[in-house]
Amino acid sequence: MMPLHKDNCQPHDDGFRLDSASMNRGISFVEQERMLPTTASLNWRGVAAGLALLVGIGLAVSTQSKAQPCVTWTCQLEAMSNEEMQLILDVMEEEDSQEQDVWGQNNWDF
Amino acid sequence: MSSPSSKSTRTAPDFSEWMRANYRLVLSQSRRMLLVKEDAEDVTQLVFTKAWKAWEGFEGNEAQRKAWLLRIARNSIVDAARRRNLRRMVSIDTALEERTAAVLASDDFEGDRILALLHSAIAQLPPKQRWVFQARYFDARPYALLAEETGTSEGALKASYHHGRKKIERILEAQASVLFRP
Repeated sequence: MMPLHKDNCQPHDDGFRLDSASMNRGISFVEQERMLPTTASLNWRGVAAGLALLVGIGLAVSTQSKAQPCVTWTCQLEAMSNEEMQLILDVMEEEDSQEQDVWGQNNWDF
Repeated sequence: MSSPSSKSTRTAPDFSEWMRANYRLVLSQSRRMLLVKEDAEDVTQLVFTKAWKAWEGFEGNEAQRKAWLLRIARNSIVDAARRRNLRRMVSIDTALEERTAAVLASDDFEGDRILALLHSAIAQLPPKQRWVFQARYFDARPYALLAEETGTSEGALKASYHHGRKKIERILEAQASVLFRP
């Protein structure tokens, strides 16, 4: 090992001996990569883009087609079928009659 | 298969031949920068795969092509070194000890313990500074060339080398004081 302060440009041995096997292995790998059709990577990109498009369209459609949440009383009334409406009216009438029974006339003078 | 080399300029060499001619150069830089044989091999493959993908778009003479390769190599190797630094957060002493042992145990290393320790100390430098130090110390590449390649001034490179050298000297002195403690 040469002194560090001698930086007047003499190359130094780094001690590593690169074997031909690892070089050939690497070169073969890159050659194989090259042999892969160039369109293969484009296809993957195409597939990815297509999938992203489909997901986007799906989300857009589902967002648009999703019914607005029916939270107001008017909306819920409108959404009721005739049977449901009749049922509700029956219940209301029943409650009304029960309420009269429970409270009675004497309860007004609190 | 569409081959970029078949479409490229008339002066472009055959990619396979060019890769074979330059593979050792890039691998040796990766090897000493990363100190892990497998990582060095992976990064070298990555460098040439990148070069292949950009082969068609490159126009220039042989010297420019080599400088282009070294630029790809430097960026890829420095990136890999940064990622390795992030993965391993250990104390300097532990890192020195582990790295020196790993280098000595490498089947492709024929240096002595001092040289292995030097590699471990160099590995303590930040990746860019390490790259400059190694380009100067091991390859004796002129500052002017490095400045052209990196887009940095010669003065900045000299300062980087100087600071790197000082840091390595401090690390090695500390190691020596441990070794020769009475």
